[in-house]
Amino acid sequence: MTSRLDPQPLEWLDRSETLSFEFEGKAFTGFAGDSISSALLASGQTLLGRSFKYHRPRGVVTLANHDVNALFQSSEEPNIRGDITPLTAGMSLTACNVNGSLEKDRDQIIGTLSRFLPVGFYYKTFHNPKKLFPMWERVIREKAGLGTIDTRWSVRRQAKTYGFCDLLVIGAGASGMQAALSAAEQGLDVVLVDENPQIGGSLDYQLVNEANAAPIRERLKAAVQNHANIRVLPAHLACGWYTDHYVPLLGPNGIIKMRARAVISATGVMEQPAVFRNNDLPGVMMASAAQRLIVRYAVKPGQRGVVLTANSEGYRAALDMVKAGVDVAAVIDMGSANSRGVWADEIRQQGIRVLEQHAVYEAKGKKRLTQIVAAPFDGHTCEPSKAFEIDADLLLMSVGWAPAAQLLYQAGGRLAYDSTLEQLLPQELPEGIFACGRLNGAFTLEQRLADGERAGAEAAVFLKDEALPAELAACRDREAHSHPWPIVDHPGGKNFIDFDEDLQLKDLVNAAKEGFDNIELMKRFSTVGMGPSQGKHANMNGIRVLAAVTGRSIDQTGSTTARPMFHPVPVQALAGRRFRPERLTAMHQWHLDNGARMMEAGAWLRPEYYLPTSETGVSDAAGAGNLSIREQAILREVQAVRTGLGLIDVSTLGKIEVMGPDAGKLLDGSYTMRMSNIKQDMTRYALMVDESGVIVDDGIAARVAEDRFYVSATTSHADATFRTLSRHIVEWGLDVRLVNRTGSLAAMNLAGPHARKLLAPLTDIDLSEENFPYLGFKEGNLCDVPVRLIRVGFVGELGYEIHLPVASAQRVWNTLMEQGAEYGIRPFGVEAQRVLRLEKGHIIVGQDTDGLTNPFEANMPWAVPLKSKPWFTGKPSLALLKARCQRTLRGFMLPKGYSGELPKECHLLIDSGDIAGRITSIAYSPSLGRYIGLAMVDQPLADSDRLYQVRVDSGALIPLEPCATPFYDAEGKRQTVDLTEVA
Amino acid sequence: MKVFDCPVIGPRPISEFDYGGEVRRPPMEADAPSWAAYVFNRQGAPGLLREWWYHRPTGRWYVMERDTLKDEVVRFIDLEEVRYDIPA
Amino acid sequence: MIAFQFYGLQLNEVERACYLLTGPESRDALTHADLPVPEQLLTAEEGSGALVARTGRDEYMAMLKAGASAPQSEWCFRRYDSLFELKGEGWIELMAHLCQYDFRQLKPGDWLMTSVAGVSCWLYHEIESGSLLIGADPGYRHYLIETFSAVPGDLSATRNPTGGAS
Repeated sequence: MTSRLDPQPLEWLDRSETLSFEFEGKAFTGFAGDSISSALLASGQTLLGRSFKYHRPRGVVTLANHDVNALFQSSEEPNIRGDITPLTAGMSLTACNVNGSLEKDRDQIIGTLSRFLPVGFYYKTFHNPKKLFPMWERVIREKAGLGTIDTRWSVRRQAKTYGFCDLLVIGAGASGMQAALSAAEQGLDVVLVDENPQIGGSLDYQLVNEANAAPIRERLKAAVQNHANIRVLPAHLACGWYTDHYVPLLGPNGIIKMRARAVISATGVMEQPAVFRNNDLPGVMMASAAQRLIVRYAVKPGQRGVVLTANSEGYRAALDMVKAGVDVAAVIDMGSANSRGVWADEIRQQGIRVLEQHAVYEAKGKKRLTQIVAAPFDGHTCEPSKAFEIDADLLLMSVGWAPAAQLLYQAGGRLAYDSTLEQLLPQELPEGIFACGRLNGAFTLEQRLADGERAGAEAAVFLKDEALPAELAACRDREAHSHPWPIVDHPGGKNFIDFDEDLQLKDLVNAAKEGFDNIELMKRFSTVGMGPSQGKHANMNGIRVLAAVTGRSIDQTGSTTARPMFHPVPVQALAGRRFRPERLTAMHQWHLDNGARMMEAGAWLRPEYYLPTSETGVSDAAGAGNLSIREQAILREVQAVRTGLGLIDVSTLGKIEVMGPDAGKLLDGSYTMRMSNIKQDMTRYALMVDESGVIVDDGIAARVAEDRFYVSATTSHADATFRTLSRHIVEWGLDVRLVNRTGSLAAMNLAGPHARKLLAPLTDIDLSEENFPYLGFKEGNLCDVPVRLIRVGFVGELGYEIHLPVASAQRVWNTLMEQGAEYGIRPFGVEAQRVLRLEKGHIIVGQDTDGLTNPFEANMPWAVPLKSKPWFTGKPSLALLKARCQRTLRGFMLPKGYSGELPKECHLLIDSGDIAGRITSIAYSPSLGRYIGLAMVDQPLADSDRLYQVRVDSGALIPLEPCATPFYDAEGKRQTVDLTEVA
Repeated sequence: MKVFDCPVIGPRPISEFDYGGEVRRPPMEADAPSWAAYVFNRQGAPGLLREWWYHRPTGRWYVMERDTLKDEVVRFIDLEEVRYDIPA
Repeated sequence: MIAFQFYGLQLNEVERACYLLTGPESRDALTHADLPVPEQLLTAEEGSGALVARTGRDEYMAMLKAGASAPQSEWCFRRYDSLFELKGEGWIELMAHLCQYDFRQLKPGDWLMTSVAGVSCWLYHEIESGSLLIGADPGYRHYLIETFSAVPGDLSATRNPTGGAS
């Protein structure tokens, strides 16, 4: 039998489009515009789910996304909220959280065991005997889940955009629309947002049958949609409030990160349940849920209904039921019907039975409501001796409201309990935050419109920087719309406070009695408000119960912190398009074309090693034994540099031009060594420490002219070094200019005994030893390109670092590779460079140093001129640290031909059972034919001549032989090799 | 996401900035305990804090005086005010 | 050359000779080269086929026609910025996907330095053509083209193909 009504004036349905779908293996149909739940109800399916703990039968209760009774599973997605998810054709759904079928859920037996599952049972039961707990844990975990995830999901990212407006109005009901209009009329750029697919809110579903509301509704909707200053965004959820009015709006196509200059919250109120035995039966629902069913979806909520109310809007709902053809058997008023206004008068005029000072004591039925038990109610308890039954399959609850104030709380607003309205109301709102409508205690249509107008005007005045005191209480109602205690105790229990978590009244009472009598403790021990609805239908009653048990006021009891997101937001929307910048050098394509395996160095991509596809065969560094292809490639590159020529792209290095009268002073203060006395055309190692003496960066400083230096920095620290230098200029009041040339200059290092031979014919710079010594700096032309050459020793061979404009870099690279072929030139990558510098014992900042390493520990006392330099950043710390060096970098070797388990970086040194250091770098050295490395070794082990013991992956201790560094070419002779070849 | 309404560049989101820490002046002559206190200790009580903020896209430094309790920028400090001299 | 085209929206790569001038001689160097010298900090002026922005106390960026000769100053540095021109209806909507700046506020003749898709960029709203000129470090050229090209696919989900983004 269908419960579908004739077309309703404001329905959301498109009856021209019928959609077929499956639920629990049965075929159903609905219309476009239906939600899944409304389509099911229209076909008479009132059983929609099973409750979390006790597997009790559940149906529609709020239909506002304030509960999760209707939670479904499809093949693609878990936990689909049936009440608000639009029906689409071909959906195939089952209920979550059932064992077998929804109808015959085998786990309903748990309900009968409920006395063994009191509040907090998982802290108390199932752990004795201890050895059974693993089994119970498995059982509980299985029972406690909701939907199932398909682990073969495919990545879907949604777009994210930024949005901007003067005023964001959240909620397009009567007061929200009015507020938006008032503000727009003042010239503000307004965005009006509503989580529902259509605007109107309760102005539609609650007042559809009010004749005087219709022209107001039409005028407001037309006005907001046509106003040039208003952008209307239906189907967008305001997820949360973030600093400076940053509100993410989740829409069907992704998130809009809206930045407003002020926010009006017109989010309304959330209907609260009455608490009585079996108040969770399908057929028992909020009055506003029944109204939504009729108005939006043309679904008749039941045949014979009773309305339980404590306000005037309950009578309005009763009249709406009558109009929809429901036989209204009675209106049960928890108070007196005298103050309920014209709607109550009309109900009485229609001859409908009204029971004052009564409440519902119990609801009866198996999988659906069949009967209610009413009894006299004195405001706190029922008199069961005078109870009587009324047959009904529908019970509407209209006993009160809680403000949807989550975003107000997040913004730092404070609410206070108003005993006239029996509702929490905004009391103090931060700058730029405004509230209006029922959220602010304005309940009649006139009050809501007036309150919206006030809020819009106040926002306009605020944004235009005029002063006007806010008058929050202006349009508030004087009549209570909530009952202060809509709770009826029952010896049989099953009177639910939180439907998500299956929490009964006695659970909260017992929690308080066990000592969890603070709202935060109560929440966590009982789990009230911790389910998917996050307390939207439960927290208010929870607070009322706790206040009553502890004898405190509502304000004294307080409430728990409301956090984003207001409704759950799928991770695919939060992930969105992400910005992961990738920075490439001028030779990037050449690297790819020549077999480079790239690696990430911050945002940069660098060649790790090269493996041209034409190459096969075994490396001649056969002494290393069985090696992977990668390792062989790296060894080949190392050998090329040592015996012939290698070329590496070092464009990622930081490059900073420092100019001005105080250039030397800036560098002197920022680096440990004195820079101001570098001679023209020479360079010096530039070590930077922070105020605590810890190494933060290193590089080379070259003197270009009397008032000009060229400074390099490591790839990863380049931006930070530039930033530090620019700050020192401000702090020390120096006359210096900086230019960050990292991106506009490329750099390559040509290293190997034949370097001078290759370069000499290509450049106009005199490469002789007297003119261009080791650590020298020259400007000139190479291949007709203006370049800077620096003789560097990082890899331990005769080498020239070539700095040149990016636009010419590829051409020069190509020429060097071509002309260098006769010398056996190979490109080499980051890994080969690491081996080469390790053979020289050169440190890499961040590899051999960590967040605490000072220059003394790194074996660089020569870089710390404590006597000859009056001041530099970190000097006082270094002066103190010199005498208390507690660990040092030491070189070590493994025996030639070692074939055991290999130690790795960060493996620990063990001395007498204690940690005594760690390996910082280790690699196979083809030049020495054995494994070498650096380790940070604690004193006194570092100064002793004992062997080091390192613990490897298997737990075994491997001995390491300490040795001096450099491992290779200790006298630095390789820098002056090949002198005679150049005139 | 916080917005800083800065001189010259106008209101910008915090994501465009690098934080530079508290404005401080190192004592040029200090005994070991005083120097260690300067290096490692900070005043954590809520109040007005002067901070360095670097705007990355323009490379400009700003010094802001921020109320750390309310997380509000009270004013922008003239860079002249945070200068100190270092020995040559 | 065209980096992408989507209905009326187009991203072109453009060529300019970019220079950074710094120091007390910068103003004179610009004047001698017949180039405009903007007075206010972080503003730009067009003149003689060039665009000059003031980016510091005595620091300027000059974007000259490709092939033009450098301004004469000791502290004048050639930059090789990646340059793009974004034009066509819907460019504001596209930028809203990549940049936390309200581009409705960027009037023709305005200069802006901000973060676009996570990369520091300078932007200029050309007066005559109304296009948006975007400059960035050359290392990000490939990344920016890819990122800009990925956005129009998302635009089509939210608007009709004949344009008219608001």
